[in-house]
Amino acid sequence: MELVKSLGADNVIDYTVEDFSSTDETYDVIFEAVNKSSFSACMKLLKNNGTYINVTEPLPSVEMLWTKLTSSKRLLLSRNSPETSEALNFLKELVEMGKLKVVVDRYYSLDEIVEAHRYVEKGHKIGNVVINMEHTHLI
Amino acid sequence: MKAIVYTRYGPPDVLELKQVQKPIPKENEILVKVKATTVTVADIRSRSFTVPPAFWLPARITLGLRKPKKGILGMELAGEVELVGKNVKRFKQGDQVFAASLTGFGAYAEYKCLEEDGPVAIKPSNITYGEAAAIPIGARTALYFLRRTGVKSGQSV
Repeated sequence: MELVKSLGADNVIDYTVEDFSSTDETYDVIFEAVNKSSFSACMKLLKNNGTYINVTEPLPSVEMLWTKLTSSKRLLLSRNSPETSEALNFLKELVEMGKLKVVVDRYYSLDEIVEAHRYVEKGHKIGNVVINMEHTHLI
Repeated sequence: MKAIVYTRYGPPDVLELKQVQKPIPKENEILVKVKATTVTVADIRSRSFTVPPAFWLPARITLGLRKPKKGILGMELAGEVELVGKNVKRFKQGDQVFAASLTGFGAYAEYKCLEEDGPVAIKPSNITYGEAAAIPIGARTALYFLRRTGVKSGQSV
């Protein structure tokens, strides 16, 4: 909770104690990053003309197609971002201005890659898992 | 050079530290000495081959039908430019860069060649290689989608 607030979130809902869909708050944008919340619950909370983003789901479900046809809500599904340096240059500026913070959960060395993969596979990483080559003792 | 190689799909143990050929940059490429890379969910899925049934065949064709086509995983990295191809203009030897290698993978290695005009840029000066390596996949994706929504200050997200 504190970590997410330190990154700049105004309100944080702890999903282990509160169901985000049980509040009467509505949103202009809902960003589904890990595909864990139900689409219908998200639609209930999304304002008309609002945008629902799901970065991991490339194919629309029947329910999504129906929403597209029958409402003014916009759905953006998984798609590859452009393969250019423009975004990276912009992100560099944000980091240097202190507006974008990088969260690293754990560091491993290259020879610990199997453990690093085991850890990420559990699905509970908080932020990024980095492999530091400089701390690697190669054979 | 040393690299982490996988020759079959499977659990984390399929990843092995091996000696492989150091790549040579083409005319439009830079050779980066990798200082840090990451473990993303995409690496995990590509290694274990866990994809939705509808994607089994296309994903298998992309990644390799009988065994992985790209033997070295790793989709993002930060490091130092060691060599530049003769047509490269944006980078020079010694530049500190961060990059996404995306479906080219290959970052779990001591060296990686990257196209000059791909998603590679000078690394932010106030963070470490480790932190910079963690930016390209997640933050690029988030930025791309948020820009497409046209989100404005004061809106509720």
